[in-house]
Amino acid sequence: MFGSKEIVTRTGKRLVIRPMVKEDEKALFDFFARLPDELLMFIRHNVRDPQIIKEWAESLNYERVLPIIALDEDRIVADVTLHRIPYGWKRHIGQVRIVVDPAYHGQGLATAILNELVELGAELGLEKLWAEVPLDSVAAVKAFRNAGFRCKAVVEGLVKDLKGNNIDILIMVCDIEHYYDARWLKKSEQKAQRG
Amino acid sequence: MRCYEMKWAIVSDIHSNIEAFEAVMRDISTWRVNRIIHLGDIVGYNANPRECIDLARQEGVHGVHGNHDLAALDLTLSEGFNILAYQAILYTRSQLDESSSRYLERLPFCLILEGEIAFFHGSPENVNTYILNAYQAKRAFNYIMKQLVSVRIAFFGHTHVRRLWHRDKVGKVKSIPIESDMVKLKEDGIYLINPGSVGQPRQRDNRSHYLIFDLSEQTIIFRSIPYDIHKAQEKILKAQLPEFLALRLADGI
Repeated sequence: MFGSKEIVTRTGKRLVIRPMVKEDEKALFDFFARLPDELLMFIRHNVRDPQIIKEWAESLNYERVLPIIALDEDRIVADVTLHRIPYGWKRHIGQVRIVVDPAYHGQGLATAILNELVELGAELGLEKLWAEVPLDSVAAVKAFRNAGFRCKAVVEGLVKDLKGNNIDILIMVCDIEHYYDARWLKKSEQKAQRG
Repeated sequence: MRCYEMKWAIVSDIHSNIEAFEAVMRDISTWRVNRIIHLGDIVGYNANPRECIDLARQEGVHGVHGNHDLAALDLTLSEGFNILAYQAILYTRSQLDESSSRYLERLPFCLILEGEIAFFHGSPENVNTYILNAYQAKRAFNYIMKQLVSVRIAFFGHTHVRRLWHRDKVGKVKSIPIESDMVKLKEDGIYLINPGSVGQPRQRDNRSHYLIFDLSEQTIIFRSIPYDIHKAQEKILKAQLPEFLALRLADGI
């Protein structure tokens, strides 16, 4: 339905990004099985249950949830989802969730796949993207900021970690129109460097 | 310029949608225009890039290049494209022959006619830059005032949404609501005007959009033309382009 494309990470690794299809069920299960418990804490379902993954794969509906995966050959190494609400006052907002294999952290993969999602959000007619990020996840906050998200609010002690401690959540929002301001700013920077 | 009795048709973002382009050309033929100008992105997204180029050439349409036109010639320029746009560029490249590639190669970045009317795709500085909000419009106006000092009216595309920006003589920039199909331009200040898209409208109105610029009356007439969307969708699916590119045509997004 959407096709695919190749991206290159900062380490020179070539990865393919594309929407998840039904046939990705096993690769997605394997991806979640490789993730440490600390990362799985951010996911709303028990993704180590093969039945959950099977249900996701069999009920894909890109109009409600668009899952974009990054693949290193046959292995899924990142999964970002765009959740949409078709009616009501939030119909122009997409909610974004992302999980990246720790072996691929620090390579610019999260930023690259989030940028792709913002661009797709624009194509889908969305105006704003919303993300909830643990306040102490410096790398995640940086990746979202690099993809045009801005910090909007902190809700103190909203959620619980594995040990039952309350942790703060940062609400980040990307205004898609303003996402494109960066292209003007980049040009100014290039001009300043040249001049 | 005021003494001319001239009408120009201005079209943008045709994006390989021959059904839409033909419908718009039929409507243009009823207006007795002196010139037809396109604002770039004649190819990309939809199924008939070569046919759209042939029709533009046949009808003597002058124009500028867009980011998709450039990426169709040089794939390295599609690096920043999203999955949908990238897939469509791969398809476009498979469809272009030597003659249609030559047409795209010869399109300039910017046209200035009558000394004070400019035409470009994204912004006066860059083919990839959008003019979507007041900040971006101010940047475009500033560039025009510094680098294109004679320009009073500039037409742009790229966003696929009809829009009219005005900078008055004291420098206040605002988006003028388009409440009727005809807008009379003021004598003072500078305008940035987007006609909307012929081949992939994104203003939640699935008709093809373009405009007529009446130079003698200094009016803009926005036109919205229905076309055979179903046929365009069938061609997209037959070409094995991403299905969403067909679905969006019906929704006008």
